[in-house]
Amino acid sequence: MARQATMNAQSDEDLIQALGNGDENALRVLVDRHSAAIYRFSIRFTGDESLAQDIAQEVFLRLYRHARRFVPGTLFKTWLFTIVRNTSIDLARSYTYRKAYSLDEYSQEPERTPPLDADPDPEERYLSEESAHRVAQAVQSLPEKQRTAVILRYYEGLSAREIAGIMRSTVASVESLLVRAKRSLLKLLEL
Amino acid sequence: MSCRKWQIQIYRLHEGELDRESEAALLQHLGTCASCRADAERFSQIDRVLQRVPEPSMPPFLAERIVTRVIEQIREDSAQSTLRRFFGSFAYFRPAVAGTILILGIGLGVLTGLNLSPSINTRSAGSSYDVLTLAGIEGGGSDSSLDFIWTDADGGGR
Repeated sequence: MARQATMNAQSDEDLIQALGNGDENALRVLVDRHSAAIYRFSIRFTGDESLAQDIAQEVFLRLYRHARRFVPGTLFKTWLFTIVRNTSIDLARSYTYRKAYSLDEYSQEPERTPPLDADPDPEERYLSEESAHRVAQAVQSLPEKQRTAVILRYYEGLSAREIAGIMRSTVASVESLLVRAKRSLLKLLEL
Repeated sequence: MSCRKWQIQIYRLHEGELDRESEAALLQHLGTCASCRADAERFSQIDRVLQRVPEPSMPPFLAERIVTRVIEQIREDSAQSTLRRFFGSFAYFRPAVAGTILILGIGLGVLTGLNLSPSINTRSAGSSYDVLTLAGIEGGGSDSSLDFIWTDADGGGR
């Protein structure tokens, strides 16, 4: 318990090094800190709950496997989201392939809608959920680079410089991607 | 500067990343270009729309599922590395073991050869029946069992 408390106070950089040595407590703290953000990114990126869960799990497996390659002094968040992005691309690609060429339960699963919360005005609630769903779908239909840039900038709050680090690009390219993404979204949402 | 370039400046303005001089230049342009002014408004609109999407919540079981799976991997790797360390300690003896196996193999080969050679060498092959002699059918033995040697494809004899 005391060890867990000590771990909680440690930086991500220290925790990832501990995880590389097989420290299970370090893993628990990293999961507590980052699994929600990873899941958020992957569900916004793919729009599929099952796939987003698989991505989140695979990201932590990759974090553990590559932990020893983490260079101290590197920004952890940038490193983490680079792995999240690559994993999302890899798994989404193989999932699309599986879905296209198999008739398993995955492909037949009906689309799930988020649970409704107690709202005094059902019509307003419906409209806002409907529009939120449309926006989410529009984001998912963007080309991969634009989608990544939009999710990281507008939902995860990363700066253009941090996104450029993740996407191995330049700040100017990221800004250009975001402008193009906005124009695409305006068209897709007919605003 | 083309209107497409101004769009980057509009983005930077919304992000609060424009210096005072660039901001003044942009505002001056917006005052004269209706198209860019409309873009500036529409970009703000899309910013607001993106913020309207509620934050997806993670399923409660997922964190435990992740921890369980990664711990499984950590323990599997740990067991494997223990085995590797154990067998790795024999690494220095590998050439010696290989050499011993080679010598044993050669020794066995030589011994087998010594055992076989007298049984062949003691038979004196006759001048005209070499094959029969080596096959163990000497002198009065019937050679009918060796008909297959002399029978041609059409069934004809010698």
